[in-house]
Amino acid sequence: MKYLIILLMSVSAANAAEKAGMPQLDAAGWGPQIFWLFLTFTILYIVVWKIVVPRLSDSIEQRNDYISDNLEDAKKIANDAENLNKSYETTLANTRNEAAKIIINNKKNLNEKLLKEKNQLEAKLQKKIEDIEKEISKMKNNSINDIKNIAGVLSGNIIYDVTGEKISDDKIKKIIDKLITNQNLGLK
Amino acid sequence: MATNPMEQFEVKTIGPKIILGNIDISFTNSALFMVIVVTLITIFFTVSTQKKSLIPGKLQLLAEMIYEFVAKMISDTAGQDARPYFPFILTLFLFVLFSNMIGMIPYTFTVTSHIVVTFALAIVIFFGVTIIGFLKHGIKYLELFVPSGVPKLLLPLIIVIEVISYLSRPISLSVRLFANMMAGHTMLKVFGGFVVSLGLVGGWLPLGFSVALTGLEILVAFLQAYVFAILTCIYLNDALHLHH
Repeated sequence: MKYLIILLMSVSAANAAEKAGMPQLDAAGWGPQIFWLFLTFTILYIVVWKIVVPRLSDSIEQRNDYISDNLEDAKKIANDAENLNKSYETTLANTRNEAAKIIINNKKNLNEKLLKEKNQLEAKLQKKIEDIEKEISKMKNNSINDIKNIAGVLSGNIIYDVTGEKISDDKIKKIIDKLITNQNLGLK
Repeated sequence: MATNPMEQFEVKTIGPKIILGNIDISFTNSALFMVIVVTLITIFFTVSTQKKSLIPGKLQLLAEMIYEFVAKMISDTAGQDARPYFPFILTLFLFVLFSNMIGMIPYTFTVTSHIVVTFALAIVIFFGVTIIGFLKHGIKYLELFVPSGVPKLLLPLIIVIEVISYLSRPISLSVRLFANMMAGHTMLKVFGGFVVSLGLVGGWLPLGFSVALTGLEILVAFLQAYVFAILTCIYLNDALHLHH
């Protein structure tokens, strides 16, 4: 509304001042201006419509396509890389598992082998100890008999030398056995 | 040295007087600058878009920036349906922008400082938009004057106000541009006149004002082209999408 008032005011002002006022309100100049405006504006419209817009939208679209293509490629490559990384991780994990299995198996085997050998060795040692013990007791018995015999002979000889009396071996043996038992010499 | 600040707006015939029928279509200084504007725009865009390189040069970048600026303006205000009218809006914006900017060069003529030029553009936009509205919505386009959610009692008054505001669109659109351009140039001329009359002694102050005003006027030149184009988009949006 206020523009209308301004316009009306300027029209009346122009009428009052005639030519001295605003050249914009001199109707003589309107015809050429409108004609040339439409002519030039139409030419510009055709230029913009047929040349400027197609060219610019082309180059902008081309660039956008190029960028989106590149982005897609980059996405694809990133995906590939991720997949590769995943498969690498899986392989690594599998290998680790296998290695752990192998280590456990080996440990088990070694332990078994060790236990077996230990048992064998222990059995062997046990046997040897038993053999030696047997031999020792055998030797002990033998030595007691030897002692008894020697003591018997010696005693018979001593008695003979001292008394001139001969005592039978059986008698001496009995006496010695009795003495040994009584004195508890531990030679039994 | 001309002292009348309105003299710069005078339309002078260049060459012979041409009369077609009853209408005077003589080539004038105004017509000359319209031709210059169109030629400059055409040269700028044909040169800058010649190579269509993937990585744009400075000129191509500038052309693309203008293109995308206007494209964004249209899609923001009028949506995707306004796409077919893009070349027209771009032409309008470029024509007004270049006219305003070239008018900032001393001793040139500002095409848009004439009400008849801006009004001719505005009335074409007005009728164009109205035709688009009726073609798209038929008689229902008149619903534009009936805003939703208004009490029935107020409706007669509101419709009258809406009709008046719709009909005053071409006037407001054209006067806004013309008045801005004329006022700016008149003011520059007045201050320029002060510089001359006050001379070396006191002329520095108005000279400073002139410099500041020139900067302001360049801003206004761009702003008014933008406003002219965006208002066209808004009117187009009203015609395309009938809602309040």
